[in-house]
Amino acid sequence: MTATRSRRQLYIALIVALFLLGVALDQLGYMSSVKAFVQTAVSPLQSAFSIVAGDVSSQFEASADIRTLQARNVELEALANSLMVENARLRELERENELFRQLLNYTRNNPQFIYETTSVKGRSTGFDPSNLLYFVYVDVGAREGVAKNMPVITDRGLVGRVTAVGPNSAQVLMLIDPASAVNAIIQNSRVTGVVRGHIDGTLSMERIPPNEEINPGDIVLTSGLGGNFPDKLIIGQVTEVLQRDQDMFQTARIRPTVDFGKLEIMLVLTSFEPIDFEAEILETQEQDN
Amino acid sequence: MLLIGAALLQTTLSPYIKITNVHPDLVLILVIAWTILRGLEDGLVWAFIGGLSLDFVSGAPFGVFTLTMLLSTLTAGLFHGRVVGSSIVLPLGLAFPLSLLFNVLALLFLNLLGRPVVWIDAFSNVLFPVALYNTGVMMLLFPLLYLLNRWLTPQQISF
Repeated sequence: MTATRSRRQLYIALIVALFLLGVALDQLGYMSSVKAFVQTAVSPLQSAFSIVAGDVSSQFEASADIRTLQARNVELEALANSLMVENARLRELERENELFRQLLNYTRNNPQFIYETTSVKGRSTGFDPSNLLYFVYVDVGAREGVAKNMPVITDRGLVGRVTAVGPNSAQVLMLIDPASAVNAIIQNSRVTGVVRGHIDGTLSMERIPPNEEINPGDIVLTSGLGGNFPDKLIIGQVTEVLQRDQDMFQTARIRPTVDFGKLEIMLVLTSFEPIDFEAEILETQEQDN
Repeated sequence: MLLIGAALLQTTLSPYIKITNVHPDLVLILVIAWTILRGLEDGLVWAFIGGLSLDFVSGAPFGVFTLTMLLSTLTAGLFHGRVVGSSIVLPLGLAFPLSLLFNVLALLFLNLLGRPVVWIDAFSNVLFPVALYNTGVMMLLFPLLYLLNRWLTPQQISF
């Protein structure tokens, strides 16, 4: 019993001595290397524990805040939806703005026949329901000064001409319609011909004299001959030249610059006074006969 | 309302539902399907309204589509009552020739009224492709009209 008590006192004395030794060594600056060694040894464990503790903590926090988060999620979804709608609206406005800017630039660059005060912007409201005809309808009419036979353009070139007018709307015969015929000229070679539409929505330039040289890539413009359209309006580009031995004239396939399937905003050239188109056609037919 | 809606859809959606530069004749398909299901009398009423709707929104001389629609419907009326059950074979079989008839007649009238027509180009690039497209759309629309017809005329139960 006495031996056991004296051994316990010895242990306590030893611990106190080690403690005091440690304090003394620390005060003297000898403990820092020991601390660094211990710190290095335990840091991986610390790190692992830290991660686990963090995860557990966050799980507890998440479960505690789940209702708040759900409510927040609903709010954010509603906000995202409204922003999406707003974004779509702004994109549409941006696109429309871009179209108007292009048209404005076009009118500025072509002051010889277009004046802002004498052209009206029309928006397409629909196309012909039949596969056999190529008409587009615009939301400007007689009230805005639109009249029959006035040319219709976009910033990319000639669309066609007005064939019927209502108070607030007008019907436009597109270039690609088989009933459409426009006097045209090749920009480089100055060769003239007639651009006609076809039932499949394609364009060709006909009545090109056989000895004239035309090449794919040539630009086709309105010639202004006949007085139905102003000159220098872009129609398209030659893609292929067709000439058979028995033909009196050459024919060129034309790729129109205007995308007739995606017409949105157009200009009606109210300043241009065209000559009666139908009378012109009749005259041409009589001459042919 | 259905026919006027279809005519308006044809004018507004046509650029977006084009395949090989042609779009389906929705009004014609509806009229043919209805005629096969309901008979000539109902079909002619639909043809008249549908044709007028097209004429009002088209650049063609007024009456061309009403007349061609009525003529196509008269032909479709010959086949009324020959639908067995919900069979779609007959409407599909008729969609192609009747589409062709409708567009050929319309083009013929337009030609007679002064529009230039190159018939070979018309057949190869427009008339045949449209007839095929209409046949495909008939496959989708006929079952819906069949159900509409059944809903409008419930079967009478006899004891």
